[in-house]
Amino acid sequence: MMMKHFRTTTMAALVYSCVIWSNNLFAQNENIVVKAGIDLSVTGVSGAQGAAAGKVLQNDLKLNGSFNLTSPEAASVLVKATASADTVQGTVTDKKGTVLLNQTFSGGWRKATHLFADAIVEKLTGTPGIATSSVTFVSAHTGHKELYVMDIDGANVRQLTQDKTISLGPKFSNLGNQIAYTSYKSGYPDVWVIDLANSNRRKISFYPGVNSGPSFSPNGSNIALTLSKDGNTELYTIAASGGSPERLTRSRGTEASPTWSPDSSTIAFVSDDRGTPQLFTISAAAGSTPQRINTSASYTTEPDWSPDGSKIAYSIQAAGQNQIAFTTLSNGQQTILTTGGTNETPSWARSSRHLVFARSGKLYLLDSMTQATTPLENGLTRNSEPNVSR
Amino acid sequence: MKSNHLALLALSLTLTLVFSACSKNIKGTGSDQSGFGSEGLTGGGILPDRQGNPDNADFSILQAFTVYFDFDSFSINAAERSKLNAIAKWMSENPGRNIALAGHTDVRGTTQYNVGLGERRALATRDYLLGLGADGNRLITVSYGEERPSDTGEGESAHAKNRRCASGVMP
Repeated sequence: MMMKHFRTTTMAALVYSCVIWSNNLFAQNENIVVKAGIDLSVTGVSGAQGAAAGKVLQNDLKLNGSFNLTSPEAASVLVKATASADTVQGTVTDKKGTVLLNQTFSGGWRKATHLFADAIVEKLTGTPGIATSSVTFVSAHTGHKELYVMDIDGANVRQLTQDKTISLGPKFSNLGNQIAYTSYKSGYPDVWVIDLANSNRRKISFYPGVNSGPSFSPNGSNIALTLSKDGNTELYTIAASGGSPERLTRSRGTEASPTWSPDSSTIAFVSDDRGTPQLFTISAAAGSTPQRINTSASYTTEPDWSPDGSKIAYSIQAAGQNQIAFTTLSNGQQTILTTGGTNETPSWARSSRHLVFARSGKLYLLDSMTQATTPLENGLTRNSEPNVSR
Repeated sequence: MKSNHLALLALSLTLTLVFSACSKNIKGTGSDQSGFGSEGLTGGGILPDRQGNPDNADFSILQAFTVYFDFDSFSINAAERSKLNAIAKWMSENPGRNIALAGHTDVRGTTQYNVGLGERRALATRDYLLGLGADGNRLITVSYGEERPSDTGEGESAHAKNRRCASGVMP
């Protein structure tokens, strides 16, 4: 009760200060505190890692898209921090000096800085920050498609496989501690799971034919995937701990790219059963009939269900190019987010606002509200198939 | 007369349905009732156990009989059928040897769907060979999707060379 009261008071103070000190527009809905950009200034980051942490913090806040980074004079919110090698002590005040946030974060200066950035976002916007998110992806930088993981700002790149074969389609588990993917290590496409804590991995599906496109259910209990062991490429689920597959589809075409609703009840996927690849949803319990999701394109693939359940992002093919789009499920309305080039594999971050996708071998962060697109420089070439931790 | 007409109509509808169900390797078109719920058309049924590693298969022996496909299609074109006859003949003449059917796509389209499409091409090739009397236990499928193009160039001529099912003789 105490905390809740404090939080409400702080929010009220913030709204008040924003109304006083900035010219930004705010939504009238009382449940939404801040919709448009907040004028914010990082007034100083001191300490042994101050310079580096300051850069990371500025970039995190810029990538989020919720803030106008400005001078202390023009800002309604002031941010300062002290960064040692291990910790970041951060303070956020409004123009009147009221302390909105004062906390010390640990785990090394870089991680602590991301934690501070996410705490600022959550405090000021009421939405989850994404600075502490990781991205797993494929890069053929070495000449072979290997798996990697990096921080969402492109830093802290780690190579997960050195198999010199083909590794495809990595996807995080909901807790972010495991990655499922397809590997041709055996000569055939098999599904593997890596435990990130100890880098141990195990082969969990290696039936005759194809085993591909694994996707963890948000409740962690199942993995949806494509198998052809029964004579056609169909959608199945298996227990995440292993076990016999349960078949979900019976079609004449190809089923691929499953993605789960946040309550783990429904799976969206690609099927070309009606001619060209289109999106469908089906109950995760066997025996139901797929429902089509209409999009503007006859070639629609790579669905990704947003963590808040409200949207499904995908890539559509038109005139030889690929664009990123999403459908709002409540009204079926499609929004196309990119214009030129070949844009592939959208993956929602936990904000259900930001997406990471691949274009011509580079990874980008895309703000679905502003459509701002920022390259994520990771020092690698030939990047593809990004997936963001939730 | 009227009942005769109805009987004829019923007969023609039945024939249409039978033909639709039998038309091999044509993906569902138009009608929302088609497709889901109608069991896959593959005649091959459950796939045989894996045998060996297709990375070690010799794709040069039957290279001339690589089957090519149209964009986003796994239908066996009439022009490709003689190649399948040749593969079936080779199999009957070399009874101890197994075949890896390696399905590939061109670089257009997206990674995961192309893995599925490549497998579908390998399965369509396998089904056709089964229809010619080949032993299914000697026909292993593997899909490489768009990952192993035979022509890394741009444009339709490269794409056409990459949409294929190559037959490799297993060691």
